[in-house]
Formats: sequence, C-alpha cells, structure tokens
Amino acid sequence: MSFCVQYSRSLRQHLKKSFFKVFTCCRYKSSDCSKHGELSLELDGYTIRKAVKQDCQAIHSLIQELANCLKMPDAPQIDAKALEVDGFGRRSFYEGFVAESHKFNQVVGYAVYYFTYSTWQGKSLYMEDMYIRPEDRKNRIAVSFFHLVSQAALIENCTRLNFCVLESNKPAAKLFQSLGAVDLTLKEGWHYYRIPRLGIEELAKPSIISTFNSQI
Amino acid sequence: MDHDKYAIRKAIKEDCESIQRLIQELADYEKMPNGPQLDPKTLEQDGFGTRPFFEAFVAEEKESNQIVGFALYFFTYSTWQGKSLYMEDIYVQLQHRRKGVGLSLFRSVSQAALSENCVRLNFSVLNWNSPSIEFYKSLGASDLTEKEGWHCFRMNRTEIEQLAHHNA
Repeated sequence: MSFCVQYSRSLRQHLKKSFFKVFTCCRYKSSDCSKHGELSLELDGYTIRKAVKQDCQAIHSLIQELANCLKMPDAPQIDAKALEVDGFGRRSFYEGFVAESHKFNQVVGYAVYYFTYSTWQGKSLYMEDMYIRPEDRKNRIAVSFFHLVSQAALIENCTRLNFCVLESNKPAAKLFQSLGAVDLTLKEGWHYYRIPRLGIEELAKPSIISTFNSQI
Repeated sequence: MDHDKYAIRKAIKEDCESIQRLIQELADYEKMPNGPQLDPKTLEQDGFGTRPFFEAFVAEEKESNQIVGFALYFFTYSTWQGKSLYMEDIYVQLQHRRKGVGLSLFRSVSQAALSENCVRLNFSVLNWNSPSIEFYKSLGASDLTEKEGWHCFRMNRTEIEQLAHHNA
C-alpha cells in the first residue's frame, strides 16, 4: 500500500488537463484487452506490460527503493524468490505491471495489485504499490499504470479500485484525488487496522476462547 | 463459545442468502443501510464460482439451524512481508453477542491465515465504532491510520471507466 509519487505542481496540473489526451500518443500492442495477459502499451522510450516471473528480481529491487523513499528501509522482509512463488506459483496472491525502459532494457517501475471483495458492491481491485524510479518519472508511466490496472479491473467487472496512501504523502494524495479518488478515512471515518503474525498465532490457539469467554 | 449452542464452519454456496441478510444488518448498524447492492445470486457466483473472490465462515445456532454470524475474507499481498489476509466483514447478531461467537469467528479466520502462512491480518473499522475498536485492540490489533497515518482511498466505477477508456 505504498506509493512514491513526487510531482511538481505544474506537472500535476498538466497531468490533470492532459490525462485523457495521453492515450492518443500511446500505441496499444493489442486492441483486444479481453485477457489480462494482453494488457500492455507503448510509451515513448518505455513498454508498460504485465509482470512475469522473470521480473521478480527487478521488482524486488524497486520495492526496496520505494521503502527507502518512504524512509522505512528495513521494512521489506521478502526476497525475489518469495515474490516468484507468491505471484507465479500454485496460487497467485498478486498481479503486476512493469515499466521497461527501451534505452537500458531494464524494469524501472512497477504496480502490484490483487482482487478483493466488497460485500456491498462485489468484485473490487486493490492497488498495493506503485513506484517509478525518479529519473524515469514525468513520462506518463504512473498514469499508464493506473490506466492498465483500471482495464484489469473492468475485465473482472470490478466496481471499486482501492488503495492506501500515507497522510504525509501529499503529492500522491493530490494526484489520486485529481484522478477522482476519495479519501474514505477523512470522508467516512474508516481506519485501517492490522493484527501482526504473533497476534494471528495467538488468536488461532484454542485457548483464546477460554481467555475471552463471555466477554465477546 | 458454548459449543452445544453454536458451531463455526466454512460457508457454502447455500449460505449466501443468510449471509446477504446479515450483510444488510451490518450495514444498518454502520448507519449506511443503502450501501449493500448485491443479491444472494451474485454472492454465490463470486464466492463459489470458477474463480472465488472471497471465503467465509458462518456461525450457526444449533437449535434453530439459523446462521447468526459470519466473517468474510480474502487473501492479499504485502510487497514488504508477503501473503496476508484481509477480513472484509465480521458480524454477529445482537442477541447472540457476548457468547464468544465473534471471537470464534476471528479464531477460524486466523487459522485460515496461518494455513497460507500469512503474516498480516488486516481490516477496517469506522472511527466511531467504539465497541468493535475495543474488541479488536484487545486481540492485539493496532490502528495504522492513527499510528502511521495510512488513509484508505477509493475510486468508484465511474472513475475506473474513465481511467480505462480513452473516450473522455
């Protein structure tokens, strides 16, 4: 649930105005977006495509860069192998898009997402992370990620696209609000809660029932 | 929980009508009665079709064979810590609370999390829902919105369509 988006005010205004014009200068590899795997597009100098298993090493490096950007360098705990197993193994826990630089033949940005469910409105999509290297920003990659993730959402007939943003990440929050996103924490009072692994293990024990019995 | 009175089990397709009824009750409690838009048929397709988008546990009162509570969840992913679980809804009817049913549902969901080796169990709570907040904190949950400043953002269908299509 992390984004590192640092845009100048003038670029944000430019993005908002030119947002819907950006696709006139993009060439789609496939006009038939009926399957997620065919979702891709070409920008000037970049290819935005679906992530594959072989991208996990590069994605892992960028995850670390994003954590550094958020000033939480010790936060990432999983390696590239875990990303491979969890995304491309027996059961896929996430999907992703990557931005590949033509100049260096290198993955310079990624967006990771997965499908979720709203008991009120049905199938939804959650965007967990989006990150682009600083030197590759201002090239429409971020909006391209949002575009392809939105297409992936529509293929599954999703009614919501959710994500979390740190309160301190004002540039990202402003960009997302300019794209029509609503801050539900401010608007409706939703707070995001977490029980960590140790807490899960405690809760899973049979003894928990007698510990709390008759109180809940 | 009184195991003579209640049983927790994995939800099946046939439970969707009862689950939908409890979803509406939860929305009423959350003061958003017009929130739920789904019918039981959609829940059946989305939870028990070729690609399930959620899983659930139900609490059944043995005497009446009625479903009196449920917990609905799905698996998610943290790029920092790996596989995680998100609990979308947990609800127990008023007359069946304070009997360990909610905790038993939480326990079943926790076991489901461990079966996939999840490292996080996440969920959202309305900031005025003090009884629930108290319950969750007693289970070791922390409020990441307060603690770290995370805000929940959403784009609805209209915004998704605008982002996906180039015909604005």
